[in-house]
Amino acid sequence: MNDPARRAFVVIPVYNEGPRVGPLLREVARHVPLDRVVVVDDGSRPAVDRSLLGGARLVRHAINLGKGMALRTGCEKALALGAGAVVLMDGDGQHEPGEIPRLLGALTDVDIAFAARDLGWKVPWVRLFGNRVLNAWTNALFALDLHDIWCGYRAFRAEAFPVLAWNASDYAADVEMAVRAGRARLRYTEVRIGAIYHDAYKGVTVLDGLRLLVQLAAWRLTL
Amino acid sequence: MLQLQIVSLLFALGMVYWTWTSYRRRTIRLGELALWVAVWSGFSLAVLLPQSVAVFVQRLHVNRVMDLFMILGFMLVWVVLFLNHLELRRMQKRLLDLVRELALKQDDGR
Repeated sequence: MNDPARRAFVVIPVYNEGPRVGPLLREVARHVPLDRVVVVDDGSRPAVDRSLLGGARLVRHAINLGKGMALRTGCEKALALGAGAVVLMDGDGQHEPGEIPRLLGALTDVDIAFAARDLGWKVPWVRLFGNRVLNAWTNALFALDLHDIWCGYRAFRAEAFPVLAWNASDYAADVEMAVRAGRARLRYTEVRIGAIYHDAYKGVTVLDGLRLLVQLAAWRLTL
Repeated sequence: MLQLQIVSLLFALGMVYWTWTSYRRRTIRLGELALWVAVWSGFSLAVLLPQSVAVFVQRLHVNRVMDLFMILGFMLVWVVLFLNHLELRRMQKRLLDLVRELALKQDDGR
């Protein structure tokens, strides 16, 4: 089995994160060279300051398309540059860059490695309940065994991208990716990580959660 | 002539004028102009001569001309709504593709 970590890229979508990007990239640089980090500015106003990037690659959407499309653009960029594996992480500093080696290490035996946060009681109970319902519903529909499907921190081998390629343009992309992995019977594993909680579901409402439950049923019939 | 008929006729005339100006500004094509003028002409005819659609009212077992209008109006609204939805989806897809394509073509700063 070849080692995908040898040419791994990190894709970080950012939207109006301002100065948070710089410190995050400095942390990421301790694990992956910055020329293998793709920052996708998803139409931030003001735009991401290039001077904060310290050598990371910048791809910019002229308008905000949503996290899903930002991730997809970033992955296509990384793969075009010859990525052997791609790590996806949020741009708000919520995912600990120190976990990158563990995620990449897990790829030795699987196609995709999902991070699973230990949320405990750090999040509001409504969010926690929604997360549990979503996990249970997704696992039941797609014969998966995942504990934090909503967590966008994950790594996959480049060969897996064609079957993972998601169409959701918003936060549902994280879930669609897991669903597609399940449908294509990709080999997967979970890596338990600690959670840095700012607002683990920024921009996601209860209505979004309900819409996603319906969307999951539709994916069960169409994917 | 009933006041309702006058209002309906003025409404139809206004819609024909709006359709015509849309065509002049090239917002719609000739086929669309013909279709909408036909729709509003048919509407005007039925308003002016309600007995002209009496045969449809009987055939379709509808009680009144007004009921027929309501049913056809709702059907038309649903068709237009669906067409709008399709067009919106197409536009959304084109916009997504364009923005992503431009982003990938840009210099990435290295």
